[in-house]
Amino acid sequence: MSATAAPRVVSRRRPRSSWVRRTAGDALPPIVALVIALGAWEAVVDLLNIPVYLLPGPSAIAGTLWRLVSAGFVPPTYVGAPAQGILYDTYITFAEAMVGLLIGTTIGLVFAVIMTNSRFAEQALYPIIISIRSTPTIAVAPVFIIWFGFTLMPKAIVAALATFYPVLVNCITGMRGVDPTTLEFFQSVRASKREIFWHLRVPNTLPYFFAALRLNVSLSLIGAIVGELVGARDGVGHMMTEAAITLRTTDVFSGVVVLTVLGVILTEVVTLVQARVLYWHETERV
Amino acid sequence: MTATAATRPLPRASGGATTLSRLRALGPGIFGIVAFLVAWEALIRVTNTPAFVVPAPSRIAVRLWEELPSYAYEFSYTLAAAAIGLVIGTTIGIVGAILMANWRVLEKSLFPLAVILKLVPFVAIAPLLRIWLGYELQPKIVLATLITFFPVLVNCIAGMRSVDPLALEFFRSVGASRWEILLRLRWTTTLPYLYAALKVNVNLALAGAIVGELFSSKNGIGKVINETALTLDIPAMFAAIMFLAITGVSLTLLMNWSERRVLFWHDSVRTTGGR
Repeated sequence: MSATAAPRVVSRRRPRSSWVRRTAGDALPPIVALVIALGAWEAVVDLLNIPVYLLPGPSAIAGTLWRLVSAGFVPPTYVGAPAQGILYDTYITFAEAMVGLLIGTTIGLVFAVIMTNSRFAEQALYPIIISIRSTPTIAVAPVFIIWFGFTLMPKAIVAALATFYPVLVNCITGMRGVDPTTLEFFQSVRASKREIFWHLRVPNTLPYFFAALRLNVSLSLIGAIVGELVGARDGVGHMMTEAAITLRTTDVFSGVVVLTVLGVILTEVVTLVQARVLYWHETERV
Repeated sequence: MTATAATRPLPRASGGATTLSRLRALGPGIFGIVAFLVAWEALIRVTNTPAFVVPAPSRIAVRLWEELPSYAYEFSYTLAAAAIGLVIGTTIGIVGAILMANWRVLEKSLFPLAVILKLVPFVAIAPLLRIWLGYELQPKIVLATLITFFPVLVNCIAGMRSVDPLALEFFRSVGASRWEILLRLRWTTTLPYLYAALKVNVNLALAGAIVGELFSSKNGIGKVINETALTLDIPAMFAAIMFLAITGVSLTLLMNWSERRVLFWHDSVRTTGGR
């Protein structure tokens, strides 16, 4: 047994040196392209003497970003104060996005289970869900600001509205898309509906669920920011709005960089968790 | 004649029956919408909720009917900005994908960056666009373009990569040029991916235009929502939202319909009816 298992494990992992070389080979071209693009940007800004409040060069943005990040965790002293640090605002936006993601994912999962269990529920709920999804969340955001004030809640709701649909659709696809032969086998050994759900439908849905989740982490961030643009006292979106009004353009770009980095980190975290949970799935093995 | 009719594919068998069955399939959906609105209306009446918190659907409908001409006029600005942005974003996305598919250097160097840039929340630069481009259509068009460009690019690349290796080998073996492979082979595998991006992008472009209008505008439905929110004219605000919901659903249905028309040969349409 162990003799047959050992070669398979070895063959799955490539030798370390080639892995390093491959990663370096993959990473080098985009880094070169990025450096060229940033260099061109800096050169254009320098040569045309574009004022920093209109379009700052990458070096000016990097300087501001470093100042804002190294300032540490400082809440704004008063509403509309020029940004001292960006970590506090990032934390606020992150919290809003995660609460919204949690609400949106839960709603999506619950409705997916309801809609896969009843054809009637699916047909009755589908138009309502399409209506909610087709309405731009930004248009609804002011309503929640009026209801809940400048708190976390309206941003979380907007983030939830932005994230529930991918989870719902993907999970319905996953639960419906079980292998008919396997389903027949489960039924032939008299598996109960609950057993079929937990041992067949849920494992089959997980890859679809993670695909939705990976999309949703960035959608939840955008949702939180949209909510902050409409009305907020803190958060990166609020910081950027204030900075744009007062022509602190480097602050705005620092916000863009921080949000993008946060989005990349969150997406990577989901990918890592997915690799851990779905180690048995074929997409993870190759 | 009757024998051939029987062997024909089922959906085309006879027009009358399909219309009827299609109507019957709509039944639960209509029930769902009506039940939702009735429950909403009843809840408002029973709890006596004031209209400035949540207006009843009947009241929203009346207000929408009154405001319909002005909303339609304002919406034409939103739609114009969204449509222009969508066309520009989609075009640049397709051109970029074609370039990357033909020059591997471009794909290797730019595609990883595009995947990251797709995560940039462009709505957040709406305040900057106002400073750069003013209060007319341009900032909304730029925002809609930025939002729609990356999904098209990333999906088109994925579609071009997903080409059947055997078919590709065959094309190469008969000496097909890059452009012939692109126009006759890659295009067919890309179209479903492009449609997937477009279906999302129609709503994203609208949202982008509305974000732009919330910040700075003389016209547009986003301006209407902003003004009604500031004056706490909640029934008018809900009427504008309902207007957007109706137009959004119409656009979604339009996209689904055109996808069924264009991709009638593709598995995803043949099995699910293009949902």
